[in-house]
Parts: sequence; C-alpha cells; structure tokens
Amino acid sequence: MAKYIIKRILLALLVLFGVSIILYFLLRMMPINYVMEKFLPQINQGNMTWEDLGRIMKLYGFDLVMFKDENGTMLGEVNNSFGSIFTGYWQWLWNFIRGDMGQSFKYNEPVNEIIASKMGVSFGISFVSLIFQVIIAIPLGIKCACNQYGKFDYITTVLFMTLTAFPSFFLGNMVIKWFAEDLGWFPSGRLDSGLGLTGIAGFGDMIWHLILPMFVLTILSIGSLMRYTRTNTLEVLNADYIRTARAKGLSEGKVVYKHVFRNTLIPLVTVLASTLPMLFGGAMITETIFNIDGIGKVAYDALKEGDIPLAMCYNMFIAMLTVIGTLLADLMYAVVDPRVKLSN
Amino acid sequence: MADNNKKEIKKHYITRSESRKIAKENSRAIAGFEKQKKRKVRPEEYVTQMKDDKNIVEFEDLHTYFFSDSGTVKAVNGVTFSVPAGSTVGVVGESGCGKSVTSLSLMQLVQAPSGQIVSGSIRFRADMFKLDEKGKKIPVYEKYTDENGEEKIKLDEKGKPVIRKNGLGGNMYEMERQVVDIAKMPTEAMRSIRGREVAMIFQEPMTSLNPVFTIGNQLDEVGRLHIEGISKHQVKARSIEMLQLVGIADPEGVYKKYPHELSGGMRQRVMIAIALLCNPKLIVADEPTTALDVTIQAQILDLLRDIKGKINGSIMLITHDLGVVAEMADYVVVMYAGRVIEMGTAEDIFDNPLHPYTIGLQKSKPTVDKEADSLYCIPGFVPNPINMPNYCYFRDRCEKCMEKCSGEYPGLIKVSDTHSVSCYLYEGEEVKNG
Repeated sequence: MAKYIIKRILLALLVLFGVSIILYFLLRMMPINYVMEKFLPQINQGNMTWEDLGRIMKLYGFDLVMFKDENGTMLGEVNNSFGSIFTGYWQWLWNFIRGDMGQSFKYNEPVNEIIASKMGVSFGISFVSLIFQVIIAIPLGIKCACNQYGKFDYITTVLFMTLTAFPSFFLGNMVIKWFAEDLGWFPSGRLDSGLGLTGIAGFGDMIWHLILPMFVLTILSIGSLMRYTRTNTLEVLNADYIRTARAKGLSEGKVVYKHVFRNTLIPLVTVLASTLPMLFGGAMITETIFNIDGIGKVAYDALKEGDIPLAMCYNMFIAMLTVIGTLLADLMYAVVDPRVKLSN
Repeated sequence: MADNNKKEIKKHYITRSESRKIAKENSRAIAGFEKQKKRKVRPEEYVTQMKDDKNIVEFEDLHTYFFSDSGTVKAVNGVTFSVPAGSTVGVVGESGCGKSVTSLSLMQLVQAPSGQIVSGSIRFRADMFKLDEKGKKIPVYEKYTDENGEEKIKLDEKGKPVIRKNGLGGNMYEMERQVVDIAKMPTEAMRSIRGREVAMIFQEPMTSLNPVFTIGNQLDEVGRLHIEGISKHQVKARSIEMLQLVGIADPEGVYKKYPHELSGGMRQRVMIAIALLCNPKLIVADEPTTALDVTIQAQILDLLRDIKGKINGSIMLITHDLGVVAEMADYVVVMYAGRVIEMGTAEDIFDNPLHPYTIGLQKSKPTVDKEADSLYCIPGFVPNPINMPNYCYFRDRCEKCMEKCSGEYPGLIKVSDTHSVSCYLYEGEEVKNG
C-alpha cells in the first residue's frame, strides 16, 4: 500500500511538471498582460515612453519588443518568442520549487496568500452544495432505478436533466431575478450586508447571502449525479446476487439499501473523489455572477486581466487537486470494493 | 408465392402501430399483476388444500408469461406436475424451454415487471406462523408446574414471560401446517417462506454471492432474518456449522473470506450452506452444476444427495444434463417449449422413453459403450415462444410426425400409473385406474 502510494505520488510529480509547462505557455500566449494594460493609457497620453515601459516590464520578467508601424508610430508588444517564454518558465519553475509562487501583479501580494485567504468562502459554498447534491441525488437515483420507466422516474429525470442543461450564468441570473429582485427574499450577491455584524448574527447574515449561490450550484449538479446513480443501480439490480438476496427472503428495503446500495457505491466513490478540485477551486462563473469574493472570482479576474503569476498558481493548485483527487478515488476503490487490492 | 412472402414478413416484423398496441397492453397487464402482488390479503385467500397429501409441491396449469416489447412470451404454458415429499424430482429440457422460469415462479422471483405468473396454482405445504387478531406471531412461553401442581408461565427477572427456544436457538412461535398457493400469495407473505421453507441454489455460483460482503455476513443474514430472537453468537455458530456440513474444510476461515477469494465449487457449497441454514423443506436447485467443472460437479451432486437425507427434505433439480438426472432423481419431468411433454419415474423415462423428444434427448447423450462417428442431434430449434400455434410444438422437428399432429395440442396421456406423455402416438394406450 505504502509502496503504491509513493509510486503514484512520483508519477503525479511528473504529471504536474507536464501540466505546468503547458499552463505557462498558454498563459504567456494570451493576448493580454496585466502590466502592459496598466501602463498603456499613460503611453497613449504621452506621459511615458515605450523605453520606460520596457524597463518596467523587465522588472516583471518580460521582454518588450518595440517596432514602428508604417506611419512611423512607435509600438511595442511582449516578446512571445519561444526562447523568451522558455526563460520565463525556467524562472517560474525555479522559484516554484523553492516555494516562491510569485507576486500577483494586481494585488502586489504573494499569490499563495491570496489563494489561501479566498479559499475559505469558496470551499464553504462548494462543500455545502456537494453535501446537498449527495443527499438529494443519490436517493433520487436509487428510487428512479427501482421504479424504472415509472412516473416518478420520468418526472424526476426530465426535471433535473432540464435544470442541469441550463448554463450556470443563465440559471444564476434567473434565480437573482426571481428570488432577489422580484420576491426580495435573498440578497443578489456579496458576502454580507455591510452592517458590520459579528458572531452568530454575522454568520447568519453570511449564510443568508450564500443561499442563492449554493442553491444554484446544487441544482446544476444534481442531474448528472442522479443519472449516474440510476444507471449504476439498474446494473446492480439485475445482478445475480440481488436475486439471491431476494431468495433469502429479505425485504425489498433491505435488498436495495444493503445489497444494491453497497455495490452502487463503488463507482459513485470515484465520481465523488474527483469532485475534490471543484470543492477547493471555487465556482468561477457562479461566484462572479453573485459577486462573491471567492477564489473562483479572483481566478476569473486574474485570467481576464492577464495577472500571470496568480493565474498560474491557481491553475497549478487545481491541477494538484485533480491529481490528488484521482489518487484518492483509487484508494477509495480499495476501501469500498474488497476485490480491489492496491499493489504494483 | 408473393402472398406467402408477405405473410413471412409479417411474422418477423411488427409495425409501429402493432408495437404501440403491444406496449399499451403490456403496461396494463403488468400494472394489474403488480397491484395484485402488493395488495393486502387475509391468509384465507391463498390457503388451499393439496390434491395428494403425499406431495410437498403441486404445480397445476401454471402459466408464467413475459410481456416483452415484441409480444407475450409464454415461457411456462400450462405446466402440471408435483413433487412428492422426501423425493428428488428432475426437470429436464433444452435451454429456453421454461425449466428455470418454473422454478423461479415457485420462489416468486420471476424477473418483474415484465415476467408475471398469469394463472394456475403452485400449492406448497409450509409451516406458517399462527397469527393473532392483530396479525402478530403467537409466542410459545416456557412453562413449569409449581408446588400446587398448577401450570404457570415462567417469568424472567424483569417479570416478563420467557419464550421457549426452538431447535435452532430462536424464539418458538405457534406454527401451523398450511397449504398455500404461491401463485396467489402477495410478495409480503411470500417473504417468510423464501429462505425458510423453500430455498434456492442458483446456476452461477460465481455471480450469485454479493462481492462486497463476507461469506459470514451473507450466511448470518439468513439466520438473523428467519430465526427470531437468536443471539449473535448462536447465528455465527449456526453458519459455521452449515459451512462444515457442506464439506468446507476450514469453516472459520471461510466465514471471514470474501466470495472472490473462493473457487467456483467452494462458492456453490456456500450457496448450499445458505440454502440449508433454516432447514427448508424443499430445495430448488437450478442447474447447480452447470457452471462447474466435471470433478466438482460430482462432489456437489453427492453433497446434495447427502444433505437431502440429513434435512429430510425434497429437491427439485433443474438441469439439462440427463446424466445428472439419472444419478439423482426419483421422478423426471421433461419440458419442451413451456409445457410438460412427458413425466414419470426415473426408470420410466430412462428405460422406456415415449415422446419422440425424450427419445431424441436420450440419443443425443454421449455414451461410452456404443461406437459412433458423430453425436445424434435433434434437427431444428426450440420454436419462437411468441404467438405459438395450437398444435404440438415439437411437430416441425419430429421424425414421427403424423397427420393428426396438425390438430390440437395433445393432452397428457397416462400410459402407466406413474408415466404420462403428451403425444398422439400413444393415444389409446391410456390406462384407466381409479
């Protein structure tokens, strides 16, 4: 077991190395760069020359290439030649290995601190919505499978698959319109009312603000988990050992919730373990729509504005969580299925 | 010719309107049967009488249909036979002739919702719990006679009456020997019979045990369910005793193992142990040796024979292997396309087979003493069970087919006290006795 885990971790390091190369190159090739965008207005107004910008860019680790267009106006762009990006990558990797994730261009703070401070809210929202997903979707899926092609099956499937089919920004905005604006039951965004409430009142206030985003996140994901549970349950229901369980004289409830469920759990565990990156990674679109200052929104802004160190660190964080999630899924397999033995 | 072709096409394909009609009729029929299985009924509705008191099970005119999308499949189409108490009855036939469905009907385990017992009866003599007015079991209390000679109920320290223990270590309840009609029983009532009075051994030992629970867990489950008031310790002891009984050398070790850690033969032994746990009166063995290799087959059959003597029960053995039947069975029932075509004692069927199908089956069995280049095989296939015509189903494959065979399906003809056959060849050879 220990040998297996060590082997998997070494393999994961290799995967992360590959991922980091792709990520860095992709981020550098984006047509946007935070530093450049910040100083461009000053250059346009003539308060600053391209040479000045070039020096500033150098401080941030970028090369600025200057050239003249056909009218003779001076222009500049970040040097995105392979060599330049490669040097940038080496620098990033060397710092990363030493534990220095870099400074955010926008916030001027170490990126790991930013991510750590924003993660709490995102984790809270995702975790609560995951719990609701599980307690709603799994029983529904099992019930659907037991009444295959019945009224209950059709109604729940159509309802939840329709909801799943909505894009999150659409459902998010609809929910804001109905529950926040028309009915006025919940606030349309942010984390608190800004009244400076503390203690239990403050916590309650936060929950009140988070109900809508959690609702949207839950509703959006129930469909797929429910369908997955239903399919797996159906497969198990037709198994020979279920007939054996019935032949023993067990009640239908015992058959379903002991014999069927325990076997359905095997594929479900993998799916649940792979939601780990989603748990910590935040819900980018939902957080943006509800204006919640969580990690998803921060990452979205970083990508939009070209804050390369922050975007890089966030994406590496997600990659690491994904790798850990798959490892966890494999380990969980061995826990729920006695037939699986982890060895090399 | 063209007309003929059209008919042929109609036979194999169903139009959309036809298929819609079938689906509609199916869902109506299924809803009706499912409702019947879930209804609450008083026991009087399904308690009947045996035709012959020597029997433990009597199938009478049993019809079990599958309502499939391409039509109603009459998997069991009017089967009548009985299992005398203390005997082994072999049910033989080709694949797909309704043997397994007959046995599953007896357990009410036909794959619902499409498979349903449509009509007929399955009478089974069972020890049922006596129920009081509230529908609760009546316990038997421990009694003693005090110094005055009066009989009194024994009380424990808390002043509660002590329930007498039965042979298996569970609470004793007042029992009643009843004949129940399984075809009419609701599922709820059937549950107390399954595993306690009738137990089933399945064809596929490799997949018939739940892979995620230990053998011990799966054995104990039956004990805890059917032996009320039994202690944890006693359940385990009983399970281990059963494992020992079925010839497992290391019962304590196997108790803790998972099914995938055992071989096929071992798993089938575990299945038999599960079946035996509550001392059932009838064991239904649905091709118990088909999935096993030959040496293990012999061991399992020996085991079954042994056990039948030990628990003093009966066995209904379903198989397509004539050798197995010859070795094990006292009575043989030959089925073809959902019907019984010949039945009798093992001697009747093996020494004097009458139906051309039975004769064909016998001929297609490999033998050591005769020299033959190739094995005999009955020409053709089992007919498609949807929309079967009303003439002998074997007609098109039969070597002795006569003009009369195009007529109505032949009834069972009793050619001796024990032997009957359903074939026009033996019309007029009937024995009449009271």
